[in-house]
Amino acid sequence: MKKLAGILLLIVGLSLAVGAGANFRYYKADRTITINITSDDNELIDLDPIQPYAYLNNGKLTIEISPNNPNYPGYGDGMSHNTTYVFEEMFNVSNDLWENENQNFPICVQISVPQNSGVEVFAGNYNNDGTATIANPGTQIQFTVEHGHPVSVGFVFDNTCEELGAHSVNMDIQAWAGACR
Amino acid sequence: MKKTTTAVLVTLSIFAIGLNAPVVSTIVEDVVGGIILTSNSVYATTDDNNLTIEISVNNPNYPGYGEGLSPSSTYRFDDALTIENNVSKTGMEIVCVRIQSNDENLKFYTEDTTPSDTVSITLRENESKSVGIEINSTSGLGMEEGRYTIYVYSGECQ
Repeated sequence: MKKLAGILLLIVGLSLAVGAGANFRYYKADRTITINITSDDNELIDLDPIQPYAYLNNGKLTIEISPNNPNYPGYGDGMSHNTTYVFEEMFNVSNDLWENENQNFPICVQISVPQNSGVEVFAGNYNNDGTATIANPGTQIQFTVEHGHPVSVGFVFDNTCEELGAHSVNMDIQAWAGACR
Repeated sequence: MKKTTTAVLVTLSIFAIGLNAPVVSTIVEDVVGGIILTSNSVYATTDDNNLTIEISVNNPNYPGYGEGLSPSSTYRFDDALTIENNVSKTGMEIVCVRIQSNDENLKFYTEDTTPSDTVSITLRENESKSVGIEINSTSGLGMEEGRYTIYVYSGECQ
């Protein structure tokens, strides 16, 4: 009797279905961006009131020399006609961009007020000769702000040609990455 | 005469091969239809493996300062998102990636375009381009979420 050796081969074909997407025509995905809108003194580029004439109105920096200012102490209702006032250190500008964790990341800040409004801005301390230590008074100034070194901004109010009553001036603040050139 | 019988036992061992692609620990990488979405921005993080930009104290990268954005302000972050046509994943030599904002306060731009609610980018094999984001913050305080959609089509952008 012959014995036949039965060889049983079990072949399992393992086929892998690899989705290479070679035939895709269209794909869509949704993503989100989340931001926290916070007050001017807590954000990436802080504007911090220092003098009581400056305050945060719904989180926005406001300079107000009138009884409407929440800091109004009950005296000093405003400024005189035909007089020039200089206020140093009205508010600070700070650089709190997160890029500063990995590298020195300065910003160039520009502050503008309308011309012929009787208002000028300056940065740093005011000198007796009418200049300032960081940016001289003008209607548009620029200065560099490094992380950890806030720059103070002051105002010159020249009320020589101004009438009595309330005056409102819009201040525009812009900033760019990199030191001012 | 003896005949020897030989039994050949073939044992086929089947190993379960887990075909996981090697995990490359790139910081913040998201794959959308084969397109690799990455960011080098410090403001980027992941949410359930999806790339997101989060400018708040909840971002693990929050360094202890800069809690968010000012109200009623405009911000631009260059190169916030980078998209790459990884051909081994898409299998397509040319793709069109369209990034569309679903929020009027969120816009996108490239080095060739100004901020707009849609940006369309043609990517050739293994080419990558970066996209900036412009955020116009509202006047109210608090957390805000902006949504956008990424569409990937085969072929050049029309």
